[in-house]
Amino acid sequence: MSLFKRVYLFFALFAITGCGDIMSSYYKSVSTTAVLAVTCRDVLSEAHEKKTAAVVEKAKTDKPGAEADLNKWLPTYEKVKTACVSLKVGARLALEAAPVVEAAVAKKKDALAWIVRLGKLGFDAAAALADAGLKLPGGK
Amino acid sequence: MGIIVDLVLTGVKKLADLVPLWIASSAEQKAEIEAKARSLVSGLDALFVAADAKDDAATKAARDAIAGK
Repeated sequence: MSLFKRVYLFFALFAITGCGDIMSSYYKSVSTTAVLAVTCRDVLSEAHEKKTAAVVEKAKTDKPGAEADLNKWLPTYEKVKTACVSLKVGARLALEAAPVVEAAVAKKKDALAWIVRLGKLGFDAAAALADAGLKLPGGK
Repeated sequence: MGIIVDLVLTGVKKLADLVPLWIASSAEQKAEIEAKARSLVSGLDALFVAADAKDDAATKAARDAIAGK
């Protein structure tokens, strides 16, 4: 199953199972986004550890090559990190907005808009990870 | 349930403990869903700070190796 399909299913799952109560769906999407943020950061950190360890090893015999490898990796690292942070910030903002959404006249519309927004962040993070050649645990 | 099983088996294992909450519907369970969301989000900053520190140390080690330190 592709990374995009899996992320889509994550968000589709709580949307389907939570159709009885929109605020439950809302909080489920926040939880899912938070879990994805942690997973995204874990995957990135693990990849960074491997890349930098390889750089250290290469620097023993080829310093310019090691420097080139590090300089090539760091922009990718920052790009993925930004996507992970976006997930984290999105989850927090959605949680902070919960009372406003709950009290809104168009509660369902507002809540769904937030769920879609969080889903978009999930897609963006999945795309950033895929671009970097990384994958979520269990991904093929 | 097929999707849930597929996600748990092939997806992010950390999501497994959310499945009972996803299928919850009672008022108590709704409160639990909200509490779980708050708990997960409240721990994010600390996890990210720790990951940043670990990654910064790894980057520094790589730079030091390149500089011959």
